[in-house]
Amino acid sequence: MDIMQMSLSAAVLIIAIVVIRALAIHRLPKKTFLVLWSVALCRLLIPFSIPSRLSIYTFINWFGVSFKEEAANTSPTIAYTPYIFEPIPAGAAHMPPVLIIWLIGTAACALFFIVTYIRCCREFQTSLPVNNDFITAWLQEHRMMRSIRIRQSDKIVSPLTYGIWHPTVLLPKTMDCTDETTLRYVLTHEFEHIRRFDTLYKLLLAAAFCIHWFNPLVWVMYILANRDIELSCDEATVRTFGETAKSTYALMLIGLEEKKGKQSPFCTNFSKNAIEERIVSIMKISKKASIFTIITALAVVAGVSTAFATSALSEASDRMQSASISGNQGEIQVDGAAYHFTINDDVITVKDADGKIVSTATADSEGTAVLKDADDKQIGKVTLEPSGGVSVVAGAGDSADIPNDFTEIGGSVSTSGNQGEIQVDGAVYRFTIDDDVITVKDANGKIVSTATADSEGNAILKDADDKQICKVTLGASGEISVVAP
Amino acid sequence: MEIKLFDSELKIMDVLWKEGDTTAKRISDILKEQVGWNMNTTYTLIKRCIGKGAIERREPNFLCHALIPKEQVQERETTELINKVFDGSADLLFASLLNRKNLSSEEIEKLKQLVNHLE
Repeated sequence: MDIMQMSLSAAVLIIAIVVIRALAIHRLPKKTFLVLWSVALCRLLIPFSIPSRLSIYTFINWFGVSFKEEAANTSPTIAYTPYIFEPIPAGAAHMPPVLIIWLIGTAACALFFIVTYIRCCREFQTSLPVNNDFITAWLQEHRMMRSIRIRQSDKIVSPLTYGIWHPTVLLPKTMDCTDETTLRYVLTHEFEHIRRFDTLYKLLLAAAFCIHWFNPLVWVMYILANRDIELSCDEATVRTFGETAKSTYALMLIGLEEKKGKQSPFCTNFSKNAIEERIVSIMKISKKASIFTIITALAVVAGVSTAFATSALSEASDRMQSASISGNQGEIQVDGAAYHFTINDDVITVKDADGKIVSTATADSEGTAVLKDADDKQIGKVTLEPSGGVSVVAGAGDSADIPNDFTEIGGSVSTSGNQGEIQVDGAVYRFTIDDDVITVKDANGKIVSTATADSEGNAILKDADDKQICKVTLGASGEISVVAP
Repeated sequence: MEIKLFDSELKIMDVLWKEGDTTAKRISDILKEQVGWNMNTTYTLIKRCIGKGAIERREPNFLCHALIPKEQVQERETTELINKVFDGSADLLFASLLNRKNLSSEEIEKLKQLVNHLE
């Protein structure tokens, strides 16, 4: 799978999550959405997928909807590269412009995040410790594997947490540290961030954003997932203090929001995101998650992940194909199998994943060669252009189907021993059978093609233009039958 | 000249006001003990103070000398507090101080006299 496929299949998943979020944000536990975003994150960052019979792409392929052209991994991939027969010098850049643009974009995004991150970290280092009995007592009560520091800074306007392995909660100087109610809410919220490794989660979101910067839906995901992190921690905080704390907590948030200013994209901010959504969702938190909502949430997660995050299976998988080429070598993936091919003049050798030669193909007068697997099934088509370019298309292709109808070809066939003669359309061909390889020669004795019998003993003989002449069947007991005119 | 110092920079100044001229190395050691800053953080802050004209660097040994007295900063902070929170009225600040419960009656009496004296 390449980046584009990952991005497109994740885009479908993101749309599904956005729709579910819009419909059920106040009805399902907020954690549901975080889990769904995690599935999308995996889709964006991990370059392979689990095939599933329940995948949406399986259904799409079943019904043959034209939508499949847009749906990521269904369309054939075409790779193009200048055709060079000489071995390519190492390091020679033959990068398509799209790849270069993508790399520049990714580097720019990464640079932005890294610079902001380092700048923030350096600024946070200058924070001062807080000497407060309540905070000391609170830390005693909330111990965990990682040691938490609580410090204060006059450079920030809302509470935040930074650091993954050595988390630090930073409180703004403007916050009244003697107001124990506020302090307790704020610390509980930030503690929840630390417990869930939200800083790491945000880093992963940023990484996905950098790689898929060209995908507007990933931007949507970045914003909404960051919001959902806050919503989920709000929910946990309210659950800790009981439903009655809802309005106190919401009012405290509004109070903090009044002092809002510039933010850092990396830190888990206490009051960063769309405040209205937060307040509304806090006020709508129900007493306790009922078993019904928990089951619904699990069903949504399971349903969406299997339907949108997996790839199509079996019937669909011959649509899952890709091809790439570099220099005089290339790779084709069809049906879940990977093939490797090398081009040598106009002869193309196809090998399977184990390096075993499965077939060879010769380019016709127009430079087109059809690549086949061991069962003589087409896996792709290579076109060598006069300009020296070479393009490869994976898959069966439309023109590839060989008519099995021999009745339209007029002519005659005769065999004797392991040799035979065919007359078609006024042309005479001779063929010799050597084990299961059949060599076809024209009247002048020049070899026009070779054919290999498949597991059932069938071989299709072709002329120099790749036009079918006849079908030869080699019987198990040595007899030869030729199906033809 | 108005110099606006952040809390972290004031922490550096505090050391200088308390200890007199101090080497950067020693400031770093003191603050590592006191607030847990590493050397880089302290040096960054010292350089910021130098840039703002609050500290002068003297050789040898990166000796730091405070260019502004503590009183100047206190005065400026108080003025800011009065302007920001008490609508520019020092009376209101006093009223607020008088209402604080953690002041002893002795202190309150002293402050009341101060108000009377200033009027």
